[in-house]
Amino acid sequence: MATLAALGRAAARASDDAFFLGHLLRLYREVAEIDEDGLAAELGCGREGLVRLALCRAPREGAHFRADLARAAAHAGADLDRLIPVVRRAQAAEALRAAASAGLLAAARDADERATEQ
Amino acid sequence: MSEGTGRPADERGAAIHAGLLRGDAEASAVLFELHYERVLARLRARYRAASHDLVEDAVVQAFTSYAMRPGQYDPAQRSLGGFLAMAAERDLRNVLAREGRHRSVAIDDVELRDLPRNNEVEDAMAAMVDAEDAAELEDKIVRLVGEPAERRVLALMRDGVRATGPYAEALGLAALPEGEQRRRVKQAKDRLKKRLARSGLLAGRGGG
Repeated sequence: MATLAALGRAAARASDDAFFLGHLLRLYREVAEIDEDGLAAELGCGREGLVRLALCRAPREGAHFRADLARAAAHAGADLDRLIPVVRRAQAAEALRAAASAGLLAAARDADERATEQ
Repeated sequence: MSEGTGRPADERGAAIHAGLLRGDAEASAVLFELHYERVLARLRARYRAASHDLVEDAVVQAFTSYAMRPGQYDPAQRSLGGFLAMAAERDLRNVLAREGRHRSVAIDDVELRDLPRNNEVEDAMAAMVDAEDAAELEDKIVRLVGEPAERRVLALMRDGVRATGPYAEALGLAALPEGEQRRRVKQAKDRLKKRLARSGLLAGRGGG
């Protein structure tokens, strides 16, 4: 088992990628405005568990969703019933951000077209 | 031992690989927990002049790439740890090549005297490999060192070989007494280093 510090740095880097559950956990922390200790407490797993959780794969949708999170929670010693709403809220926040970003892009494109026509 | 390959079976690696192929959520975490720090330490030891950030980025990138596309690894070819180390080193070399393709490193700048290495010849080679794109460096060496035996010596140095035996064999000295082998091998390494320094490959040394 690698040291917590080394794995923590790896998890922070890996969280840039949506493949990892850490991506959603980081998003949740931003939305909920809590730090890592706060999230670890919310999930009932401690800092080491949070790092392990972050390095798990993000859940697949559909039939796999709950089973994927159950495996990740078991590996990290986290509470599945608390993890599921955290992940759902992060996914909702991500969808909102994507929509807002698309809206901004569309508005910018419209403005650009209007400026070209004038 | 695994059948056919002649190397020990990598049972834990095989389990992680199978888990990633199945899409097990925890498989990527187990991958990092078992292999990350070892691969990181190996790369840091080999690329002492590279920033820790770059090395960590390269290792995470290699692990992520494998976790997302586990089909790129063939367990029949090598151990999972070996594959990850190779992939991370390839990524790091690509990053280093992009960052400073035509730089060479001043040997005195990398505090070689503090490094627990065999001798300064190998340190010099390691610093060069750190600083240069491997293929580019290879081309320069081939142009500079025409003698096949000496080229084999350089390859051994680059690969971090410590024992005198392989060098003695490469130089045709295997029949000599051990002490004499060591002396002649050291001479050969020093000669090569001086030649590299005079060529300008080792900035800060020779060059004129």
